[in-house]
Amino acid sequence: MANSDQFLEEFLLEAEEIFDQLDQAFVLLEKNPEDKKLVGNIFRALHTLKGSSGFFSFRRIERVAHAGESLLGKIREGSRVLDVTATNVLLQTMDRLRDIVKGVEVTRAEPHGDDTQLLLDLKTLIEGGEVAVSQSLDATSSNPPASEVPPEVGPSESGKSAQPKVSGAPESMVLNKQQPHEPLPETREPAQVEAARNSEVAQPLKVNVELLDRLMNMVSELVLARNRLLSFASHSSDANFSSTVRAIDMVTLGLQTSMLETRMQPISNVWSKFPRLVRDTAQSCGKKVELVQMGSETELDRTLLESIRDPLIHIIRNSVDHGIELPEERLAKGKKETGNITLKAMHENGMVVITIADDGAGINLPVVAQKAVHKGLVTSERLAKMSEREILDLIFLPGFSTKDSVSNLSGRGVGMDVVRTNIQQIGGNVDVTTSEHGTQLRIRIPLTLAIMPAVFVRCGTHRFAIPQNNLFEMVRHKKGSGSLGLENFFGVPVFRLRNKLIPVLILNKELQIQGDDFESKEALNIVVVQAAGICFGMVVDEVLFMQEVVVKSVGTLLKKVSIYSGATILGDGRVAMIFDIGGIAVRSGLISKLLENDFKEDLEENHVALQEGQSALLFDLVNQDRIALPLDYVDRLETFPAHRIERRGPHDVILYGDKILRLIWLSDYVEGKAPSGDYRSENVSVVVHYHKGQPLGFVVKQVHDIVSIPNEIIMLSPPQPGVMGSAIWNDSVVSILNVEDIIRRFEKLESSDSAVPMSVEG
Amino acid sequence: MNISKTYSTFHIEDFYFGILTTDVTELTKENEVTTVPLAPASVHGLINLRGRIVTAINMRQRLGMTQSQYSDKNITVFLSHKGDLFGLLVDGVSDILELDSESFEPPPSNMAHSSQDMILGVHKLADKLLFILDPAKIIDGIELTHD
Repeated sequence: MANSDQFLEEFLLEAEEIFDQLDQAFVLLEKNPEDKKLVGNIFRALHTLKGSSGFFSFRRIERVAHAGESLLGKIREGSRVLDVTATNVLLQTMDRLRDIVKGVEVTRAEPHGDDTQLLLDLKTLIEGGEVAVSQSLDATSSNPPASEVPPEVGPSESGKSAQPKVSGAPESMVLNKQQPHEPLPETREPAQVEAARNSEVAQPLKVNVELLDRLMNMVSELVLARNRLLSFASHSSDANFSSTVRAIDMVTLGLQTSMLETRMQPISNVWSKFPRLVRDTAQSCGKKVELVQMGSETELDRTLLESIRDPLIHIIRNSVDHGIELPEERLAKGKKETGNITLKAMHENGMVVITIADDGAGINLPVVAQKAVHKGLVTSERLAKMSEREILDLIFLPGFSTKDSVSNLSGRGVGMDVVRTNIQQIGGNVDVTTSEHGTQLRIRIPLTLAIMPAVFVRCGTHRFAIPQNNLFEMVRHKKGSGSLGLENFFGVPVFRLRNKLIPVLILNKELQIQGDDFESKEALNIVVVQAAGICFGMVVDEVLFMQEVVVKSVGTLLKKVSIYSGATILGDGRVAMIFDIGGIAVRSGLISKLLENDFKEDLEENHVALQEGQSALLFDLVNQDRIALPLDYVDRLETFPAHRIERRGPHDVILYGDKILRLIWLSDYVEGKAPSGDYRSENVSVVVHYHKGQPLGFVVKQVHDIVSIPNEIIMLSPPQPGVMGSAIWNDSVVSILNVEDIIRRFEKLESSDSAVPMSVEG
Repeated sequence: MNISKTYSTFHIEDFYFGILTTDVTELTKENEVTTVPLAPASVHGLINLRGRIVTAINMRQRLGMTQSQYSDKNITVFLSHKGDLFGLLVDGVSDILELDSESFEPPPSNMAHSSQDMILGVHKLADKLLFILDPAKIIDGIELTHD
């Protein structure tokens, strides 16, 4: 009995694989109806399925698969053309088979059902007749109901009402016919085509996941044992021993790397279902959509793969459903008739970045804003202060759904909060950008959850790991006046980080442990982290080091302690806990306290108050006193070696990309400064400012910092050329550069070559 | 009908306990336990057992005995429960005993209620009582004390 159960499991796995292959092959086939090899692959896959079902006496599967196989046989030998009707009936066949197999999975027996109509359709097609597609093709449940399907949908898929076609010449593939200028799919999806074609060649071995996990554990342990061995070897004078240890070291390293690789799987495992999803969704909405996949070989941890599947399906479905416009709308806008969705995956800074971009209508921000107010998610006063980005972010709020305004808004709102939550749970994030040319979602997720970089901190005698994903920065904060050396904001200790107020947790207190003596310290070590949508600081006793950690489960008893996400084993064999930063934020009550006191709002007001000045770049010319340049004029900071400066007419210029950067030696223009020669050293610091589309470079001696200077400017009397006035910053006087004046004078000089700047004259 | 069972025995302070040998995976001493702040009171911390993270249970606390610090000399009885490994921190281990169900009795009713749950029964030995513990009850009964 157990034996046949095992066989059944294998059958189910095999069937699942076959269906994935089939989905992929069918969509490819639709693009290349002539590809006999693909037809052959599908034929063989069905045949395999039929054979296996025979073994279990699954008569329904056998019958349906057999009929499908016969039709494919006709197509393969060329006596029947694969047209839309045939494709649809074949896809129906696949769906039916999938349903039956699903039933088998649940009940362990073949479910009952009526396949008469489907078999009849198949039979008619085999005999060369035509049939009306009698069932909805929706593989997805959330597609709009048939009544919403706009009238311009092609006759092939308009469904129930269509009468049997009498025309003898079958319609060719919709996708192919209308876009003969499209490049061949092979050039875009070589990996896929290859995969589909070679699928019968390389059959990987199935290994139990638990076994892999056990192996992984043993390898980690081996690494620790190797570390101990290495320390022995370093004290040993026995050459044989040392070389043996070295060999063990090498093998262990290799083993560890390979072991990690077993957890990695290409993202195409998830993507393989998408062409079918796009096809079906597009058909039912009456749209023409093409899916382009790039970087499908990008690998990531299989557990992560599993958790991005649903969010991706959701996003893609939204893109087709709401993003891409109807064909005639697109033509009216001057876009290509066929919409395009590009899926792209790549590695970036140790993370996997997945972008889903469509060239649809984009998200209508005013509608989003209106909706959010209407739903009470945000007040209109608050909304007035929000930037476009923040408004766009509203679609991720729970309860924000544009479901009831599907048509006029490219509503991504349907469950986008769930998408974000799912992604955040695995330590990733999502952002969205949109314009009338389309919408792009960018998902960043860690490569693996099994190994991640973390910063270790000490609290009392404990060592804890903080995932680097959550980490913003580490600050050594000089104690101020307040009770903890921190300011107090409605009972929450806060500190100022640049222009922001950051709430702070004293970690020792939160953890109820005895840490270092707080009073005796001069400065606080604050780790600034971000989680659960807020940014906060944690005071720790010491920041230790950064390390890649292998994340392990903490076991059932500690799982309920929300502040930990896992544990790891350190090089010395001891265990350290890994914090769940979101859990800490929630457990400490910080979040509720912040909400209660409207912290966010006040923080922003505070921010504005601090910002009342303007940001400016502080730099030196030659004299001691500093000069400030309003940040609006600063586009880039560059350093050039002096020998790159060339003389062109009256100007010093530097080749800057494909443009010519004209240099303005600021000291020539600012009264009272020493002649320019003084700072023409080996390298010149240049502040690049684009003026009328051309780069201008202000040459300065040294750039110091970006500071906030008050708006209140003390006018100088008499006015100094090149200087707008002075301002007080940090108890000292800084001069504020009059950029407009300098550019005016510079351009004057340009127009009359002979003119010499004022200050040099004087 | 008499059935004999083998027990791994250990002691905590003056009490003598036994667990079915089949439940015990191994016994080791001098395991370093990393304490975990905010953990349930009965969870002493975590042990690295050859790469596996094991939850160490403070048996004194669990059995409601007086608290005294565990030292490195403590011995850990490892057992597997629902796929996870647990370590019971005890003072010392003794023999493996094969005992006949004849000497087995249900737990005395005057025992503290909290520990009564975990004790399956008592074997009356020649010189002392052997309390037979139910590992599942020890572990499942641990609740979060904070939060």
